[in-house]
Amino acid sequence: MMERPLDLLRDVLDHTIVDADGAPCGTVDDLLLEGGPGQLLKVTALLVGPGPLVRRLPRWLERAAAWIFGRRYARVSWSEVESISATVTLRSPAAKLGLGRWDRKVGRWLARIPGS
Amino acid sequence: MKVAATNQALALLLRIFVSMGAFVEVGALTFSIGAGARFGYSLVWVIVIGTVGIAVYCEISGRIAAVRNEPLFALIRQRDGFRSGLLTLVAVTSANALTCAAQIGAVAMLWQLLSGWPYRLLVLLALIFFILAVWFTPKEWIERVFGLLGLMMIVFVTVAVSLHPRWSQVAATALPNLPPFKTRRDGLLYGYYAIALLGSILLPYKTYFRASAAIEHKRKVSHIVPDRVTWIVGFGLGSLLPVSLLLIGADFFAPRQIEPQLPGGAALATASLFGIAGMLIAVGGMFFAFAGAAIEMALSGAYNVAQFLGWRWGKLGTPRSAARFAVSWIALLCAAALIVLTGLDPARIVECSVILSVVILPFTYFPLVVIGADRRIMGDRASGKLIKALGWLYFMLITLAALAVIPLFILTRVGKG
Amino acid sequence: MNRRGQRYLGIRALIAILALAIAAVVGVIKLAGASADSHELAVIVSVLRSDAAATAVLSDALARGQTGTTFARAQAAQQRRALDTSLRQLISMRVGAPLERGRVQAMEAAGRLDVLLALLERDTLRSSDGDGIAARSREVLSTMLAIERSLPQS
Repeated sequence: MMERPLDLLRDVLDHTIVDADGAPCGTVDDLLLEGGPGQLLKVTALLVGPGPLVRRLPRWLERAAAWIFGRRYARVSWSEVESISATVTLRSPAAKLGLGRWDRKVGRWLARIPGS
Repeated sequence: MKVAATNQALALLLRIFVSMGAFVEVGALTFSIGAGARFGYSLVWVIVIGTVGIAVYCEISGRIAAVRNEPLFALIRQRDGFRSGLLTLVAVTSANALTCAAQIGAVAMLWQLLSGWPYRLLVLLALIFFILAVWFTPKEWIERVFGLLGLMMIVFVTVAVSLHPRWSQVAATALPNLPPFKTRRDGLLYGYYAIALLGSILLPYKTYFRASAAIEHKRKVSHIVPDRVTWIVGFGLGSLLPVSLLLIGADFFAPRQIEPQLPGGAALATASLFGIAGMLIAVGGMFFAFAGAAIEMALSGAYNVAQFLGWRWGKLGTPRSAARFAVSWIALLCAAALIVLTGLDPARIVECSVILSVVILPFTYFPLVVIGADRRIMGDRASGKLIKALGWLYFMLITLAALAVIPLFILTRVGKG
Repeated sequence: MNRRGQRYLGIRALIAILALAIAAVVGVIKLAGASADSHELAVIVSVLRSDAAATAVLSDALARGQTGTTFARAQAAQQRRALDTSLRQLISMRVGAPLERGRVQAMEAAGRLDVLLALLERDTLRSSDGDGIAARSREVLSTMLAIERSLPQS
């Protein structure tokens, strides 16, 4: 897919994810790598959600944050990635990949209020 | 062709005036008058330095937005990682919430001066007003209405001039100077006022809000130069307001040995010279300036959080289209109102908000200077030698200020009564 | 994790330096030491003085019809809140005969400025610049009471 080496830390991790419609739907909170010692290490998925984020906090903050925000995450297969530039663009709309659920949920709730 | 050029010129003029009207919020107002009442003209140079500083940082943030079309906090997270970015985010958001609280408290106080209604009720009404205003008003109109009507604050310039200041002395104090101090405590208090005044002009929400607004309005690289003109002219003119307030402090309040700590004092000076009409214009101008600031702070906080976490964001669409963003600015306004409703003395809230902002200033401006100069991110639009030098110079200045402010606050605390 | 990690360490170091520096600055200034007590009185006098002056400006503006009565009343209320705070500080200081906290608080709760005034007059408090604080507070309190009485009751 990529012609030159991809710097995962600089160009993928913590970047905003944009879906096929161009709307932001999360950030790359972690990467799922598969492989083992002596084997080829492959990036298989992006992990999006509070779960991986909470794990990256210092130990003393982690438990409280996990209690508040939960440990769930969405797994976006690497094959869903269309292109990587300033943002990580995906092939499908967010809903299909289980991303941006809360934006949609809160959006439905807000829709009851006039003027939204 | 001519129409387009005239339109562009008008648009530029509009943006300049909006920058002017939005320059002063309650912290800058309180400390400007206080500085004048306490130390006469001698702190004018701090206003000059602060104005140049905020212009420099707004230039950097505007340029980053125009070149990258990526939000600042997304860039911060990409460059510095989740943990450091989170630290900056928490710092900036807490300062936003506290300064927003100061504005809401001040607005409630202004309404109380006009209506005599109970303060806490007015705080709730102010909260409802802000939520409704931001919810139903299109973004451009919020900026225009509050920014332009905030220009009523020009009445303070009129008052300052009518007091016949000694202009040659004012000009002399535009350069850094140190007046003779009677006691050591006076010296410490001077330092405290200087730092607080500087901090109140350098409030971070101005830079972060403008960067997000620039992306929403799709400012391009071609806009960098006209935007620079906007900052320089708008802020230059806007700085006349804190200078005028300082002159009012020095020429009206100091001779009467009054140190006003609430916005009503500023209106009192106007009333004394121009009667009820002057007082109403002053109160009106302050309301729109503070209200505009409160709205920008809440939106800025929401922008930052949403951009950091990859949520949909933006005020141009409907609230439904950026749901978590909408909830964020509402939550920030509510949190700010709650802080005021605890019954803390509004003057203390104003003071603490400025102090907290000063302490976190280095954290908020460090990413700006670094990203602005990073060639990997900015390409050949990275900060030139002058901006880089100024950026780092001001960073050193605000770091020193951040270190000194809390000790000075503690030591001069007895001086607050 | 070198580039990102280094930058992260840089931020940590920045925080540590800031914390140490704050501690150092506080320590130095504390050692140089200014005693707070003798200044507190002078400061409270200046607060009372400024409130008296502000009240005078307010009543003057009111008399000349330059400010509406709602404005004046609200201003006076805000000033009185600030004044109450400094009076409370004044009374809780142990200068001369100490006043019992409980009695004072009960008086304040009842809003009895005139009673506070009488209490103050019993103690001859002197500030570092020689002003009689009781005299100063009497002047302030009388002006405040007068302005409140002169406002039309609604």
